Amino acid sequence: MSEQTRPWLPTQPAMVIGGQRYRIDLGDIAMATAMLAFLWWHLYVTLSASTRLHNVMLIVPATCFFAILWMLIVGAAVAREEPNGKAPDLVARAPIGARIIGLMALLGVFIAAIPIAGLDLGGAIFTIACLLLLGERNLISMVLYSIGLGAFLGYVLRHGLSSQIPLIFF
Amino acid sequence: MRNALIKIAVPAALACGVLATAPAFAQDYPAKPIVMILPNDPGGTTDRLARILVPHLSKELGVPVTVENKPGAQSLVGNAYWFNQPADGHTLLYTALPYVINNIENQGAPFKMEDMGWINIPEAAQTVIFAHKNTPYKNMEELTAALKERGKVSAGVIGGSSEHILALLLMDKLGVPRENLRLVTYDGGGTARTAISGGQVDIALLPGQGSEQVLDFANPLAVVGEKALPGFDAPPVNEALTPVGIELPLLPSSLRVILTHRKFADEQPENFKKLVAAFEKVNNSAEFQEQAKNGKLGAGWTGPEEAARIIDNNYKLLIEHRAVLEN
Amino acid sequence: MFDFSAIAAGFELLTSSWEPWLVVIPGLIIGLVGGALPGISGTMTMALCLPFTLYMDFLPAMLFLTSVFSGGGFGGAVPAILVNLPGTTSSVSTAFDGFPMARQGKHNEALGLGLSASCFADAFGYVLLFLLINAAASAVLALGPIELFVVALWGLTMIAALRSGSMAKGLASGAFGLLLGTIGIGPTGVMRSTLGVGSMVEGVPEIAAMMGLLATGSLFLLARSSFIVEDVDKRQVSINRAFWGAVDVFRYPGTLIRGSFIGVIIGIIPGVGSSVANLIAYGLTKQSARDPDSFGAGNPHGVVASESANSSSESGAMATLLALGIPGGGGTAVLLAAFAMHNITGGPRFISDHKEIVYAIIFSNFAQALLMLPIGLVFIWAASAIVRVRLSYLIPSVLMLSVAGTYLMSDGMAGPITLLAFSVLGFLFIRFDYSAPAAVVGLLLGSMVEGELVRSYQITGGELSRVLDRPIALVMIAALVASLVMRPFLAWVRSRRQTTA
Repeated sequence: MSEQTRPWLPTQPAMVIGGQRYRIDLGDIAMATAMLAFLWWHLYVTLSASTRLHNVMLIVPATCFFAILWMLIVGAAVAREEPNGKAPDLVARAPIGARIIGLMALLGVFIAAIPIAGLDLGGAIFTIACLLLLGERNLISMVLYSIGLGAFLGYVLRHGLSSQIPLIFF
Repeated sequence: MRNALIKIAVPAALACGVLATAPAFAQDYPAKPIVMILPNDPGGTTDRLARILVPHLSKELGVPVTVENKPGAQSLVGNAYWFNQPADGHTLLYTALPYVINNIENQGAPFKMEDMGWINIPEAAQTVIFAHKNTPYKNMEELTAALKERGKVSAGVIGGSSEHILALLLMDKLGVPRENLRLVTYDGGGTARTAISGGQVDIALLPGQGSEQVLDFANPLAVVGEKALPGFDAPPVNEALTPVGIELPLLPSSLRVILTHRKFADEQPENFKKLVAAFEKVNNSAEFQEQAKNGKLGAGWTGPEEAARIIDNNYKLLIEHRAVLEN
Repeated sequence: MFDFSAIAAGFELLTSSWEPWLVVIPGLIIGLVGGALPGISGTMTMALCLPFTLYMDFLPAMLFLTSVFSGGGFGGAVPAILVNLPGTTSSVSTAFDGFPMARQGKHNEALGLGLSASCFADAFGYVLLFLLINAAASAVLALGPIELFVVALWGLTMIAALRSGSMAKGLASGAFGLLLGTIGIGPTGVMRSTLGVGSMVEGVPEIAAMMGLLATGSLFLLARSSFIVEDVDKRQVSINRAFWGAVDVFRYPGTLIRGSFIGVIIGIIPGVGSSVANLIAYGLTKQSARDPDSFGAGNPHGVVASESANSSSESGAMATLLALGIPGGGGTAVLLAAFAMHNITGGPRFISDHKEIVYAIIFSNFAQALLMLPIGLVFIWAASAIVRVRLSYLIPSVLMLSVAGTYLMSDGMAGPITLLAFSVLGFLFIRFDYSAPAAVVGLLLGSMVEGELVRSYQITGGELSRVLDRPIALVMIAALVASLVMRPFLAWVRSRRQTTA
């Protein structure tokens, strides 16, 4: 029995079906369905490439297996709700924090920008941005550290390991 | 006075301009580390030879030369990967001929024979047919009799190799359905040899050179060639097949070849010559030859022109039978 | 079984001069650092060191590379424990309990424990090798495609059952990872989806995917805390506590020996290796523990199981290499190359002709295991300073290092892009209670599973009945089924007992 310590998220609405109140975890269902959709598409591409046994021997059964599991998972994402608003079989999730989304976005931008900004310069900017996002305010140490880290990595990669990684300053 | 200045300045400026636009290719080669791609699992014969070779090459060329294994899909993964790299002489490929042809003809490879700038053929191996010691087959006659029974014999080959073709051709010539033979395809010589050594398969068709260790566990029944092969106590295959009344085409086994992009050889002939010269020096050095001999690895030198000639000759033979492997 | 003259010869080979031994300490350090840097795997470190051995004789070359190998076996545990980011694929399950221990302020103890588990298992594995090398060779030869397929599948289902979450989600994660592993070219050369990315021809870059799924995904979650160890009192670096943590390993003899055994056995199997060994040892230890739910919350048994298995798998792989000339994985492939340069090719003839070299290798690893203890402790002391660094500085630094590492590994942007995609996926996995480790193992084993499945079909000629001819395969299938039904079965038994009580 899990303790209900948080309120339900908007992605976990309640629905009345056949007289009984159910709590549905849409987020859970969406995740599982997205995975299934991707695998289904992969299966389609594979089959259109070739339907020879050797090509599909693993993919077809594994995808079907996943489809069966999907049904189980979706089934488990719908739980009976008791009159006091609790649904012991479901987990009330915490909202995704802004910091986390911000970090993921920053990482995405950084990686996308490497060919233009290089690992050294782009990385220094990325570091400063993360530090700001995570609450640091001491500008001097932030900038010094970021530049130092970017420079160090750039130098080691180019001159130590002969890598072809895009860099601005090395 | 102004006239004189202009007379000097203009030609000087032109000269500078010409020098500044001198071909970019005049820069040093090699300019960065060189990679040799191996489209097989580590542990096989080409792998071992490559790894002995590259340190010497590094010393000779002055840049690190490393080996990268990229196995998969009967050499297609490694070969295609090599092809997609820039044609600047910094990515080499060490592969073997039947696979390349199979990639092109049957698997829709992105490269063509014309894209290959051959450097050297260190070894032309010959196929040997082995039977595990636990099996009752002493010669080809007994083996072919067993092949008439469905599912009685299992065989191991490297996928996409000429041995693969030979196995299927044997069944065709015997007039028995291919499904009679349980043919298992492996991704490299190392795994195929382990399979026959362990008796996972009853017989195996493998490049003889490099398979000496198999002799502890399996008997050679025949050699695909005109003459017998030293070290393997077995008759030439068509001789062994006379009682059965069929003949197999004498397909070359692994024509192992080192190459780079033809585009590099065409566009930067000086640098290509430099690369080939380095290879030749290293290959023929006493040290390398000694190491190769110790490892029982073939390390011949043919050079680009001779390699092209050999490949051309054998290409026709292999193309003729490539359809056997059609998916 | 014991060829005393060869043993003596091996000993003499090692002790004839002390100069070759000079390379052991640098080798261990390089291995430790390389293993600890995320994105740089143990194999890559060894490959980078290989050119240096060109100029060495056989003995120092062998000592150097095997030291790097051993160092890498523990190195990956350091970031796994400190920042939940396994430095190598062989330390994945070390993080499961190592990182919670670190969060509780027990990072010194956890690191010490992992170190001594690694050292002990390293030595123990070689003792087993010493006794059983010929048996190991025969065992490997007996593994056909069917057996290999079942082993891979068994490993996968076992790992899917690791987390106490829903079994369905665990298996789904494994299946998902397995199918991700089929992206790219299939075994017959047919191109499946490449998601429009040219470099996906050979499939998803595995290490980048692993790092994203397991580590960076959870790094995002750390954004909420200020330090890895919340309590400032516990945030100390103490070589003293690390030392006593190391000594502590003897409090867990059962787990230690079992982990070592499992590591050796799995290490012997070509293609599977230390990345799977640590997960299976962890899984089996958890399943047979009296308090399975305490795993994942900082149970030292978890760290011991994982670290012992990944270190002893080295000797298993070495057994296969020497006995059959087949490398078990990346590390032994590099070793094979180095050995080949000195004309050591492995194989049954090699063992009978060169027993003294085999013994020399075994004894030298005993010495390495001993030496690694003090060197490792110093390394731990230096590395542990990380817990004193604010997370706000640590997170971007680790992310940057990971991006650099994945770029190096894939020699292009494919690595970092994969890292990004899998980091997001890893975060989603954690949020929705899927099992990232199961997906990782699915991905790693994907090509092996598919290849062996195809070969199983080929070798049986499509007739399932042939499987009955293979006793080893049947035993393995039974073990597989057992591990699948064990949990629901035990739960059912427990509930029956409650109702009748």
